[in-house]
Amino acid sequence: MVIILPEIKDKKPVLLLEETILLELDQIEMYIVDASYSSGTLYVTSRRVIWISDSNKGSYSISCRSIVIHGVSRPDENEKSSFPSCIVCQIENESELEPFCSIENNYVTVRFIPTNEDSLQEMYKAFSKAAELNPDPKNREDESSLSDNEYENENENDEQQVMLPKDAFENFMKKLEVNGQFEDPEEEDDEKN
Amino acid sequence: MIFYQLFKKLVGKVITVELKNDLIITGLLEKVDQYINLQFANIKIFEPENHPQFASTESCFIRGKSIRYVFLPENTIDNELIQESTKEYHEKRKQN
Repeated sequence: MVIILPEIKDKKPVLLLEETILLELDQIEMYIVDASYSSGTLYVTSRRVIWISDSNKGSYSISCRSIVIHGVSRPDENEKSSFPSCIVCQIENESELEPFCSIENNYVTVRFIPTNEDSLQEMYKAFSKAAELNPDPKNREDESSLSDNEYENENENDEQQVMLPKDAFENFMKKLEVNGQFEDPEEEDDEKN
Repeated sequence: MIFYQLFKKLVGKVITVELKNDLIITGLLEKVDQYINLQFANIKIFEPENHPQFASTESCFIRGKSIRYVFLPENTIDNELIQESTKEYHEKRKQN
């Protein structure tokens, strides 16, 4: 699953079936790769991580199942380019869309930076709790009959694909070229010809 | 469930995991669940220059599905016990 556009009403996310909010925090800055989306409100729910911009930068939803790893990151004095203390997470892009792919094959790094560092533990715990609540449906060792149905419900919502702002996308494309890993997407050009 | 039992024994120990995205992390295992989601403290990344986004991460939660390998300290596991448990598990599955 990619980062998608959630359904919003009155600046709050419309919750899915049986979805609950584990944590709601405002004044959280979000970064997708190198691009800042400025301040917004973070919602960690029992199914997703949602961020809604305070201004006009849009809203974003990440399925907890797509978050491969999340952690508490604190800047190292030795590092040249470091972010302030934040929750950093890596999202696996399971679709075939190119724009969100990072250099490391289908992984996108997203950061949530709180204004107050004390919020970090709270955020980390909420992310962890949400991850625990969303095991993968294909896990044979744990045969849960409900899990497949939940997965279907999620897809039935009318959620649209989101485009990154032009700057972020261009910066990212430049990086690909520099690293010599720019590969042509697998398109069906035959139809066009 | 066999591996869940195994990992529970590793809580409090320092282990290394390699993820499917090639990230290699060493840290103190704090928590494990039945899906083999792992929580670590005091982590160190192998070759942080290749993964700058995680270079200054101190604790993390890893989704079980994303793990490729787990490197265990020597003498951590009882091979015979694992073999027996695995046999039993497969026999039960066949019966069901």
